Amino acid sequence: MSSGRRQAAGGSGDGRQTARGSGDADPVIETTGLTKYYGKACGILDLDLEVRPGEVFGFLGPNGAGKTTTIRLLLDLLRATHGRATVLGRDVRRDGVEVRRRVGFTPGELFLFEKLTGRETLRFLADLRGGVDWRSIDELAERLGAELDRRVGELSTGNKRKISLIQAFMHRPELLILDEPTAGLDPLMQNEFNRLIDEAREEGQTVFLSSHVLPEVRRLCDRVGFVRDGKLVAVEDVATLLRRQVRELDLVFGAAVPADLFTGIAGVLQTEIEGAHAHLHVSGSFDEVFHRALPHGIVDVSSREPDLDEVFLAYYGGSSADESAEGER
Amino acid sequence: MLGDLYLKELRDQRWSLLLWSLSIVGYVVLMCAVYPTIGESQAALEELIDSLPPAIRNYIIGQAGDFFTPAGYLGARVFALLSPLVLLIFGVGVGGRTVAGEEDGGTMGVILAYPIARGTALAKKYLMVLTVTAAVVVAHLIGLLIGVASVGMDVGIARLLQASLSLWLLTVLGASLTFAAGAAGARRGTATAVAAGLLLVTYLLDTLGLLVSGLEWLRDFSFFYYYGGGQALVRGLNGVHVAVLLACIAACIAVAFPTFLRRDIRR
Repeated sequence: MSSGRRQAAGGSGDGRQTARGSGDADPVIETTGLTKYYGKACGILDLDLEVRPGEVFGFLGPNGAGKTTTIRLLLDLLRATHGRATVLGRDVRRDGVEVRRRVGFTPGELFLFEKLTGRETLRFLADLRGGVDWRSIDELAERLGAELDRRVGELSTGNKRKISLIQAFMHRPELLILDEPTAGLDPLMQNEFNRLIDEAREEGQTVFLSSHVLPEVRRLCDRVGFVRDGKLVAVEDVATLLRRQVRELDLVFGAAVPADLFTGIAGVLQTEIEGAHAHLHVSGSFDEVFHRALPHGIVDVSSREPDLDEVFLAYYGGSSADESAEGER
Repeated sequence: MLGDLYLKELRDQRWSLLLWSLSIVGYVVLMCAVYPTIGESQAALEELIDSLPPAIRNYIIGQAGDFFTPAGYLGARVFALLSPLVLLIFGVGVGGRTVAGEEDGGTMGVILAYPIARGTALAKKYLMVLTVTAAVVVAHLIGLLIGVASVGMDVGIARLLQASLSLWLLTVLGASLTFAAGAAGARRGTATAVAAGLLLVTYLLDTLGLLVSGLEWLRDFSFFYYYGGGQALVRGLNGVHVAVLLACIAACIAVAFPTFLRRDIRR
């Protein structure tokens, strides 16, 4: 389901942020040389980023990599040392109020008005937006199971998170900027959150989602940007990333098979055959592997899903997995 | 009720404001109620005061002049030290909570991630500061009116209003100091320390100027000299002194806005 939408969103191949396909429309987020120093410490360095209309863009990286800094720059809470950023075609510095009118934001660290109830919080925040349809708030509250009548200060992290999510989604903004949005949510609510993102996508909203939760990113995002030590290391289409990823395949046959059964197949990187059991590392299509295996009578097949963790670690650990990614910087 | 940042700010202060106002009314009424007992021991007190060196005498009976007239008594016992102390504690607290406190608690970032300009947000917060400081000074005035009426002190309402105005200006100045320090980026503790330190130093300058002959010029650098310690009750407001207090408040605002508009929000 999600992969279908991924294709519809039109990210292609090795695309760094060059506009292409649906990306011909003006980018929703565009930064050029965006740099933020805190004194001598670098928050984010020379960031060139482009987020296209209607896509769910995952902003991935370990804690302290610069994700939150970037987001706070986009909201004009921080002021850039160099470079500039536009959101929805507007300069975030000059037209900040206009930008923030059209954006919904949930921060990673949950700071809310502890003495207000959830309902009072949302009423205040809705009024700061100049009014929001309460039906939308009630619907979101019901879906997320939010407790609106208790003081926010008494709520658990998960319940505070719900209030924060409601206020980000309540006015159906053109752009959702979500900083670690599911931290503290239970699995049931994470599913509901996933549905909210799916719906946002269907309605053409753009989502900029910072995360270090990889399954979430894989499930939701069309493209991901990896950020490390304040630098954007790579931008990749999620589908491509997963397709390019090496997968492990285990085959069990009715009887022992020849040791050279899979020799010479492009994409088979490693083969271990012991009697009737074969263990392979495959990149790309399984077509030819199965073509050769079928005549021997396959009893059982198992394949480990491609894991974004490994891609992630490959980027961050500096190991070889994808050198072109570094080359793209 | 929460329609707007200004109203929310007021709402946040409502219990604190109520408590402070009631306490202030009570304290002022009590101070007035004690006045008749001073008259009873006037002769003994006068003798004692006359035996003191002029500088000390001046300091004790205050700048209002005569300790035994109603206006002199209120000036020395209420307006000279206790009331400014109480109201400054309130003002410095409010000024510190609304900017530095909001930012320390992380909710400044929540508000400013909404479609509200920083300058507007800060202006609404400052408006709240002006409102609640005015409210406690009004409570102070109500206490005076009740107290003065109940023991039959002969003080004109016009003079009480003038003295209250100078008290409000001093309170606003105290609040503006923490407000400005917070707007410039200080944490609440730092902002409070800066304001309290400045106020204490200028209070000491004023006192020193009063006590030590030859050092009178020190008083020119004290907020409390321009506040006047209740002189307005006896002599009416000094326009120049009011202008100096207003200028100090304006200076705080002149620091607060540009720095707040330019800087990063901490969290």
